[in-house]
Amino acid sequence: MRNKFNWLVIFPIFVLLIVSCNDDWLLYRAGNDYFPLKNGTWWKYESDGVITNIEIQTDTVINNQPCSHWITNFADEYWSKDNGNIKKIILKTVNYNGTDYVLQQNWLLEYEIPFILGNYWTDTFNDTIVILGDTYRIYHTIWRNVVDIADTSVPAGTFFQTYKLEFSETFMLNDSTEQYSGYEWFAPGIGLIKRIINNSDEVLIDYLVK
Amino acid sequence: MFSSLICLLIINSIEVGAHFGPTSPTGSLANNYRLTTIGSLFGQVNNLELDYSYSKFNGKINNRDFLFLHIIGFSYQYPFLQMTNSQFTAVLGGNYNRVIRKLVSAHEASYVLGLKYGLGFNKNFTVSEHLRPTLLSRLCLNQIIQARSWNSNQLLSSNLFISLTVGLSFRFHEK
Repeated sequence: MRNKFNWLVIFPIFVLLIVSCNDDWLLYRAGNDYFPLKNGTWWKYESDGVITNIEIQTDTVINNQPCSHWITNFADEYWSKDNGNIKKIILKTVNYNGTDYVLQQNWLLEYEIPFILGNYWTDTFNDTIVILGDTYRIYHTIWRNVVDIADTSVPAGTFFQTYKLEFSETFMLNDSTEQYSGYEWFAPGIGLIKRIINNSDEVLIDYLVK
Repeated sequence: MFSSLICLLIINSIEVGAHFGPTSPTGSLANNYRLTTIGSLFGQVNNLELDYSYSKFNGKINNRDFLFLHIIGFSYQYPFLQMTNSQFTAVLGGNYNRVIRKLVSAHEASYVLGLKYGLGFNKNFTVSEHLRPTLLSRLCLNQIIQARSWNSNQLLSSNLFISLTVGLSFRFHEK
């Protein structure tokens, strides 16, 4: 009799488990990598008819920092992933009579993973250098904030539980200023799928994640 | 049905206890979170158990990332093999999981329901007529399944937490 009663209590619990549905997939997000950095992975983006190809080539070491070598439309890029900090090496040069002089060469924090709603990060490079008698004041800052979780559609597909990031980047060289701001969307296991930068859309059209 | 409800009033045993031990996420969660310790407090009436468990998982990718799991479980301990002073039990029930992810000051929180199942081994001792402690060990699985129809497909996410715990309980009343 006692056992019969126990099962009468337990059975409704199982029914409750089956029918209940919580739409917040926190554990799904917690188990996924939103910034995969595996060699051989490539993404193809399109923005106003212009195609950008990005491919992760090999692992290498730059300034004693293990990193990944990317090719972005035939240009070299270096990205490191260390204790959740995703950094990119920034190289800015100035040309004097056919010779390039380095204005800025440093790792700048681009992302902090795992993405968690409300997290934000910033990194700044600030320096003054003199090249052949000319003074250059350089100020470079990046700021990002995780603002939303949503399903997102791009030509490469519709992606579930993507993180939306708001960003702002400012590069000042003496009196000239370049400013970029907008939003980025990252899909689980894929990486960046969409970017709106200064009101221009860049969307993922094809990819291969190793 | 009525006679079954009457059985609610018949209390055959009351037991309280605590147990702790290692717990680990499995599958894709194991890529991002480390093995940790789980601690549980429970009360049991007529083999029906209500328990609270807590564990804090450290992130593998970022050491400032933490996953907190607060679990309220309700289960039935079915004794399927009984010996003189010991017994093996099958554990079957449900869990209410409060899940919190934290990175610096940012956090995400959610609740999910899960299935609880496993095996237990209890060894009874007699210290005095009124003090009868039980040494217990449990292998428990907390399985959280989420499903959603999306884009004409059925999405399914299953996360399993395994724990192996040992502890002590005290029986206050037994018929």
